[in-house]
Amino acid sequence: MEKGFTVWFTGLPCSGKSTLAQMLKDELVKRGFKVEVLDGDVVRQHISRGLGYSKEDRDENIRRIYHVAYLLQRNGIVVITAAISPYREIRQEARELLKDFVEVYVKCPVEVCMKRDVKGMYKKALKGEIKNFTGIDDPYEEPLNPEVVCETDKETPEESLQKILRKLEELGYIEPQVYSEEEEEIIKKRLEDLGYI
Amino acid sequence: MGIFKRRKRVLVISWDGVPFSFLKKGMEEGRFPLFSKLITGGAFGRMTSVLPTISSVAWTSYMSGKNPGGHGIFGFIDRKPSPLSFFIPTGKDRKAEFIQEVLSREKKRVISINIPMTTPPFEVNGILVSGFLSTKIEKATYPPEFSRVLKEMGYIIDANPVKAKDRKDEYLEDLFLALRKRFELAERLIRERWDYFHLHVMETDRINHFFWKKKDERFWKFYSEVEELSISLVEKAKDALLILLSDHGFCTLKKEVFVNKYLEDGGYLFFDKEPPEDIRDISEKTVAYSLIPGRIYINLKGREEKGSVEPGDYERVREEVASYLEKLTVDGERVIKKVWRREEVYSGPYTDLGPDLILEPVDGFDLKGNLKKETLSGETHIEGMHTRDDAFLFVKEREFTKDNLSIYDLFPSILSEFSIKVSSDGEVCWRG
Repeated sequence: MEKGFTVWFTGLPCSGKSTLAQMLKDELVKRGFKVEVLDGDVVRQHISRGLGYSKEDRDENIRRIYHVAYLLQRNGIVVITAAISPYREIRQEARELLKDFVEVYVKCPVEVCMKRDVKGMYKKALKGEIKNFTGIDDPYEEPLNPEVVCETDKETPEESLQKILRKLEELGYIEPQVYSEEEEEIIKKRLEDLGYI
Repeated sequence: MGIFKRRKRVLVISWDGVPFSFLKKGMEEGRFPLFSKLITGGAFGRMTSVLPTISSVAWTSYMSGKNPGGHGIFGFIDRKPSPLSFFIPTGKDRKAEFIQEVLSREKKRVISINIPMTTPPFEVNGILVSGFLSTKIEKATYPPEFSRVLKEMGYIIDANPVKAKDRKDEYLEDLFLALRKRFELAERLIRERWDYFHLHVMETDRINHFFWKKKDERFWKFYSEVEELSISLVEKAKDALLILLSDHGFCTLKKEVFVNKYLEDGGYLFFDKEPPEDIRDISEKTVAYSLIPGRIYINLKGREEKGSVEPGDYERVREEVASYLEKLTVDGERVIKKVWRREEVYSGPYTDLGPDLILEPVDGFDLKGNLKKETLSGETHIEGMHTRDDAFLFVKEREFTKDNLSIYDLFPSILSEFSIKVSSDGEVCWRG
């Protein structure tokens, strides 16, 4: 059985967590891993339904996420979580329980996140229609020592993905892979056209 | 003179596949005026490259100072003996430390652009941009975020060689563009702080492969631009020790020769499936097979998946195959200059990964590794091929201390400029 591990994305709303989580999932599936994504928005519709956005409820939500992650991880599944998880203390709890834990800080200035505002949530929060919105009237505690920092206002999603993959390789969670199957075909073709193979 | 001694810097510009003889003859004919002037102030000589004479092997030897038996890279394609399969070696497969890593460890700042076999990029104390074995810019740099700079400037990893077959004008335009982007990047980075700066020009190899026979006006225009851009870069770092070199020579390609067809005709190679689709289709009756260019593997029992040659019979069989291969002719002309036993050219812990025999061809015969061909030789649109003993080396304000320069010598020689002593298969080859 493959060893499970958890990639824990954290960052402001609309910082790019879900996008990167999905890209990472696709890449790891291609490499033969069993992968589950625990997306914050989806989790709140199911296992955390009814929880609000007070600190207590947010912490409870994260506890549920890391507990599910624990169950999956110990069965050899790679777990990718994509929740704001704004508080350091609860992320530390998750790290301590899960142990094979790779924290990815999806860093993006709140102004840029507000411009993205995929679901119009920032707009509502600014109007006061949503309370306790992280980045507006609720704090976000930046990770102090994340394994990876992706600056999504400066990097392309592909660059951020490569950063994460390199770190996972470095930490020994995934085998270094220079080429995907598709890329290997590209290189073979290039070498054939040059008469090198 | 100030209180502080100026830091020693080394600037290397490499022109892939540019022969010593080509430069020498060109200069005699009045070409390469800037280069002609430049070499009056240093040592200029012919240099021997590696076997097989391929850029991936040659540059791995340059960067490591080791022969393939010491670094484990034997070609652009290699095989795993059991289960028998092909793979494309990259920098991950090399087993020796590279000069950029040694210098980084010594706290020297390194800038390395476009050298083959630096894919995937590795950590250096500075910036590294991988060469043409990279598939996308996002995966081609250390640090990874430097790829943004490349994207913004429209950097090109390699001109697409598929065009060289029937859209040569377009391909040439692409080569010019790739060349200019390469130097644009170099001009930008040379202004940074560095101790070792290496720019590799791959496009010279490309133009030689596809435009070597006619050497028309466009060919010479390309070389003039290579020369001008290079000298312009040199001007930006006059205090640095300048090294210009190539990794192999070039000659006109007369015929492609299909070595596996010859082995099959001689009763040394058989297939389970006709036509074979993959190397796994070779049969247990096989005695030997070949990979490009001229690498011969004995189908040794215990090593190869379908091994048939008993270990006790290895030497006899290898000699028999070598003797057969020496007789290979095409159109009445001898094809093989020399058949090397691997222990004659390789040494070190990874020698066993290499071929049992290495064929060095007569100039003009390009040895191919196609599994199945109907004919022993064929024509191709590729006009030029590599030669082993005609690379060049120029070192400014130095004199050579030996006649038989080898690409293995660069590693210890460059490091000695930084007072770093290393073990290698080469030796310090200049003084001054």
